[in-house]
Amino acid sequence: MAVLQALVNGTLVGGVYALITVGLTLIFGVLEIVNFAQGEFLMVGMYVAYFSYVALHLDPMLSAVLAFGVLFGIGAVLERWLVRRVLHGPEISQIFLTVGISIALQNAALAFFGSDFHSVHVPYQTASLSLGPIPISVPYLLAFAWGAAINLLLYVFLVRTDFGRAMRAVAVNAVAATLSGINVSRVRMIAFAIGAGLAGLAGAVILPYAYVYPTIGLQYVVIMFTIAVLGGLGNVNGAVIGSLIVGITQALSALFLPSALQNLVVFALFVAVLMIKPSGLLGRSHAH
Amino acid sequence: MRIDTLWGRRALLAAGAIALLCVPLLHLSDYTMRIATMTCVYVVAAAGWTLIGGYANQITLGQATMFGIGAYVSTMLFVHFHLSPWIGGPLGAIAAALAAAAIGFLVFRLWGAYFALVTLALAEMVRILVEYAQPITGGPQGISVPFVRNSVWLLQFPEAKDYYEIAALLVILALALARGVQFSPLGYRLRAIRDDEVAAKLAGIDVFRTKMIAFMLGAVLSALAGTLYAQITGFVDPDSVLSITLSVQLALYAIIGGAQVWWGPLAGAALLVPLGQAMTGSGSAAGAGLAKIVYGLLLVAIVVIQPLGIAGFVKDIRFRRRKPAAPSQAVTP
Repeated sequence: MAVLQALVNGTLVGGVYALITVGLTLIFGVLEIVNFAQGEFLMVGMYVAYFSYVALHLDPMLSAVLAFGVLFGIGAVLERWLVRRVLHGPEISQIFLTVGISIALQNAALAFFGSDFHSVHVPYQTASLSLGPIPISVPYLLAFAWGAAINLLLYVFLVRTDFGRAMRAVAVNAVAATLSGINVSRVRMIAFAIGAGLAGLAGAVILPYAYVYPTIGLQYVVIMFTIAVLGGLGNVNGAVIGSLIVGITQALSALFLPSALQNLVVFALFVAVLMIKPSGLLGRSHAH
Repeated sequence: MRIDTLWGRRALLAAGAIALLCVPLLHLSDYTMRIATMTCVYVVAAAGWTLIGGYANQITLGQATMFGIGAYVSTMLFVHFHLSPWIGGPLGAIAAALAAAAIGFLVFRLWGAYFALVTLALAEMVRILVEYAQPITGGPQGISVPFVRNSVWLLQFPEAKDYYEIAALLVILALALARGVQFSPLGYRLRAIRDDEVAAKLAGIDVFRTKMIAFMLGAVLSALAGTLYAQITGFVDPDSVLSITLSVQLALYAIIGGAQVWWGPLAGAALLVPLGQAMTGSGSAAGAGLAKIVYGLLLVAIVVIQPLGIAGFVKDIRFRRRKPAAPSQAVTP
């Protein structure tokens, strides 16, 4: 029974992880940049939802759309003015540009909003449904539903629409995409903006059961990278599978390990997978 | 005398080292000397990052692990076995070198972003384990270095400024090592790996071994800095010595100063540590936040404009000065 409960919880958490990670994966797939600021985009999204709640009493499930919009804008601007300049630059620039952005965002939040923890109060905060004998937390279920919806939408967007196809074309071969008349810079900008927007949306969606504070991004960032790499960086479907693996691993390891060591198992899994297959579980092998 | 000769350069370096040791003669305020001492600690720690991250372009985001091992090993040996940091520090350095060997064994096959991400994950694993081993390490709350007495043998002094000479000596040793490596065959091999790993391998360089030596040397430097940090602050906790934030900070000092030259960490830390300390001096969260915003923005500006950091700007200026009236021989297309 405990195992079944853990499986259900793990799946729910995994669905939320999929939402948090899919933006990171999209950005890497199209721009081949690891966005170290993704955790801070999530944090900004949480603050957007928090302040919409304080000022307008907006439920985070609705302000998620607003958070997406705000982060989409921030992402577009950052890509246009900064990220674009290092795409062909040295590796050190590619890594530390987004690290620098994350430091600036984290500390801007600290300077302007202070280091206090904030949370929202929604009616369904402690509610739970029961699936047979297994209780299911409503806030997690709602976040999971958002995760499933977004991943489905993104899949349809990438597979069915022209712009989505263009995005996949750029991910596979940017030169060939240019030669086929695709505006590669524009595709990259939109991809980065969508990736950032999804992190913002995820931040809003998890707010009913999480606290927001300036360094919250650090709590999620290593987990995000783990999932993205497990699924193969840049592989959007892989990210979903990676999320479920990580969510269920965490929930199951909580059964026999102290909660302080939960993430240890996940990171060990991450390192082990890369030792066996250096391009991730479902990654394409890069011609080095 | 011209500076641009072998002996001229040596004289200049010796003068710089002596000047560094003579700073206390200026009778600066205790506060200023404290900042100077902490700057020295971070110069040494960042030099450790430079050896592997800068020279070989193996961008590790886990250098805090080495700093933390140095801080924790000497502190735990002192607390549990009353062992002097003069012995605990070198033991911590050995432990860090061994940890580097183990980590290097795991990660040197990976390239680019994967390398950075795995070093980050491994550093978090070390942090989780240290937090969990509460009876030995003090857990998330950290562990204090009990003040026994004012003693050179115990490496304990009442004020941070009293550590200055030792910190400055360590800076000189660290930079001498970094400079020595840069102009040694090892340095050339590292540069070859940085420029093109496959070509380096084809040229007969033992890539794995070369990276390993640099990584272990860097671990020793960062660990010694960690021991000194623990003695100065009298307190060690995972947040201050094992965090992602510290790993990023060490890399940041080196990159802003110039990651490919031995004096990069010196320039970066000498610029940024006092800036950070001055702005956090007010004690408010806003002040601390503002200082780090500046760090972040500077990092963004440097990697976009001049990825070689301050050293890159200096190189540009020197190059221009050396050839003031070079006739433009640009071939018109």
